[in-house]
Amino acid sequence: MQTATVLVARYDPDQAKLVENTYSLPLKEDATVLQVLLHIYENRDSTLAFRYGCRCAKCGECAVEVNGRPSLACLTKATPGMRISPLRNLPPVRDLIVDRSPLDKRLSTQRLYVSAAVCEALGAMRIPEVYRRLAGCLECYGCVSTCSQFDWKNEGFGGPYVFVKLAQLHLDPRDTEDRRAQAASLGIRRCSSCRECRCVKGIPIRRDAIGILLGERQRE
Amino acid sequence: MIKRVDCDVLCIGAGGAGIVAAVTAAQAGAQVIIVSKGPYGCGNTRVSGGLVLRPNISPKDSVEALMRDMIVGGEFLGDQSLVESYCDRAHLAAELMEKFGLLFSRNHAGKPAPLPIPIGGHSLPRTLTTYSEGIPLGTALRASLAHTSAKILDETLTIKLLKSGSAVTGALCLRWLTGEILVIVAKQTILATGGLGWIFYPHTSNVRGVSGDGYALALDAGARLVDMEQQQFIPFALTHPESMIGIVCGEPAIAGPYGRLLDAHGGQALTHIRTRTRAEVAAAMSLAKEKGAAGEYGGLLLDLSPNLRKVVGAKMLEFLKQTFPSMIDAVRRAYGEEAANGRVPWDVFPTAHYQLGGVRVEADCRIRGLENVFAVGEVQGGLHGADRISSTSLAELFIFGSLAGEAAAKAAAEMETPACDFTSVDDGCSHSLKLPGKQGLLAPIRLIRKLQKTMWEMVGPLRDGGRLNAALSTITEISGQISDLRVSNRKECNPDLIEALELEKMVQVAEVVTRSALAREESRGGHFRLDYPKRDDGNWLKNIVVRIDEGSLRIETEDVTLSKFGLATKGGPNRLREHIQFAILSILPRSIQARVLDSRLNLGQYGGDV
Repeated sequence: MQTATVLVARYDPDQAKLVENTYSLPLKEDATVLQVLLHIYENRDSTLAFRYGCRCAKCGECAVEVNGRPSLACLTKATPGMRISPLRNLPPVRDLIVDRSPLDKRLSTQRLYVSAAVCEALGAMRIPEVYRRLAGCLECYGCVSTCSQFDWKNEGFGGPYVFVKLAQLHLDPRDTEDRRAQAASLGIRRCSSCRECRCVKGIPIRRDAIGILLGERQRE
Repeated sequence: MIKRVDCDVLCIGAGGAGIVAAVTAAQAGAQVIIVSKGPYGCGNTRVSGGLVLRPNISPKDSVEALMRDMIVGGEFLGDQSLVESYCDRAHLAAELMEKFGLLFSRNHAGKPAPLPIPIGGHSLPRTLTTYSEGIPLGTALRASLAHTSAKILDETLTIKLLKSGSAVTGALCLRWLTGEILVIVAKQTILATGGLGWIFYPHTSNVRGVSGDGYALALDAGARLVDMEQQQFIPFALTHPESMIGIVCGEPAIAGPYGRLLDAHGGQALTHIRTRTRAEVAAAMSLAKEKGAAGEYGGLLLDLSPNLRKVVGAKMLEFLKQTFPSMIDAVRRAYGEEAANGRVPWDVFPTAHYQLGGVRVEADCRIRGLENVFAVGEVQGGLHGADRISSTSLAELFIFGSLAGEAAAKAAAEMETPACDFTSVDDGCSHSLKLPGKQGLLAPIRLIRKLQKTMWEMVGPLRDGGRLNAALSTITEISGQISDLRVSNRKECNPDLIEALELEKMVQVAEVVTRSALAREESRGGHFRLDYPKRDDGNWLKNIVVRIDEGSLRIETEDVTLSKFGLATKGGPNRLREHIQFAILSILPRSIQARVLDSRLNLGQYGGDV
């Protein structure tokens, strides 16, 4: 076990800015970023606020940035000198906590639920392979962190999370709305030459969500 | 300054049960508030394996057949009127889930594809799967909430239920992101806080927030808790690395027809794993460990490789990868690619998965002895008795969530907003409200970790009188140390504060579990005692009931009423029939076997990437 230094950029609401704290701690070879945060919390500073839930890449709560890349803390290997910081492009609250509600609200404002006159349950339908991959989206909101266009205050642009949702709905045989038109009205054209969004679980957002909505690829 | 909001129906908890109840009540016209301790829809429901009960796949199935399996599976401890209420509505679950926006996996013909064989204690095939375990269910729940007028109070912890006489009138809550204290006055309250797996961390499949709040809230309000000693330890979870201890990697069915469970000496710890209940396998593994047969990481080896020599095994692995991608990913991260392919054994040990005991309710989910309050989902007790058969818990969220949501909306429409006396709210929890800024020596997390370690080591899958008594004295010690907590006084996102509030409830719930376990002097279901290793129907066909009487816990026993199905009832897996099915399959030519399995297991329909 080696001793390593890690940086945690903590948002301070009183100063309204990120404050970098340096921690020197023992780092096992297979340690995750979450273990590092827990170590700091349990042994050094029990005021450190961060979210986590399942420890196995399913709940989506522990998304943070590690060295500037959105990552699930539970899934990401800790490295000496790494910098852990809150996700960008959502309102920071304290330390590593960002406010999830601006994106939560888009679920209703953008009608990101299956819209069907009569939603017949358990009926026969063909479900595209892409739908299955997109079904793994954890709603961790990591993807908006590196989006150069997304701003939580601007409802006029969808951003990667909303586009993943729209692609899921476009591919859902039950949904009756024109989700491609909706994506177009939410500025998806701006995404056509950009590949900056990154999914912490490796869902190819540009190809499987944005590409589908731009009509670059067919349903199957 | 405490802020007050009013509503018709308050749902406490925003996993499956709470969201289904909230959506149902809102659709019925009620003004609904739903509070969620963590980010809503991100809890145990999302983290689950996504197995969903669908009865009547087989023409031989019936309400009675399902009841028999649940009651026999629960080792006769279940409340049969509640089981009947569940089974009567069981056909609604899968349909409701799709109406909420989920899609179950389809077969080649586009129809929902059930697992072709019965698993986890069922006598007939009754399980649907999804495309990404519980994840799309969490997604669908969040989306369905967005389609209603229900008001979501996210990251809001419930400190106390408010009462007027025997009626619950709402709750006192802390909004964690802002530090604001809120009184929610409600005509009807639905408790849907989930289980308590977190008291066994890291030996649990549960998420951080599932620390047993609901049991303590209900107990404090005057409810009774039933059979709290009954935990389901799911047998197969990872033992290392440290970051992944306790993460589920399968239930008994995953062993397949030829899988073996090996101890450190290479002996078989148990045979016929696939058709055994979760409780049986977990108990056998704990016993093997007690006898010193566990390996370096405290686990046994689950060897799936004998399956691979048969067509069925290879197809099964393919099916697992397709159906449980997150679970197989976890195995890959922990033990490598060869393990994920089934060629290298998995180091496994049971992990706390599901709380079987819980709040005592009537068959309509109203909490017994109280008014205007329901309990649904894992917090509820009595449905699963001493062991839960597979696929029933996610269905339960919809079966009882919708029942309670509808009943609460109807009851709320026929009553006035209850009076709420602010001074009494303050009196009842002035201690909690004074926690921020408390100058003590101990960080709450230190005591939480101590409690969790004790609960796993002394009240885990293997128990005896000595260990349970040792646990009780540690719990008492921790309870005493609570007066010396140190809590920062930050307003926004104060982790000390939330853990201090959780700790008080965890200590109480841990005591209830331990004292119930000490009271039950037999082994039954999830409760396995070395000093009483046999089930004892003569003396222990009893429910253990806990309540608070004049400030202290009171433990009583009550005879179980076998109202419909007696001890002679047969149910559960038919091992002989399944053995014959596999035998017949194995004598077919390999190419035909492969074709049959592809079709039954719904494999190969996509033929690679788009």
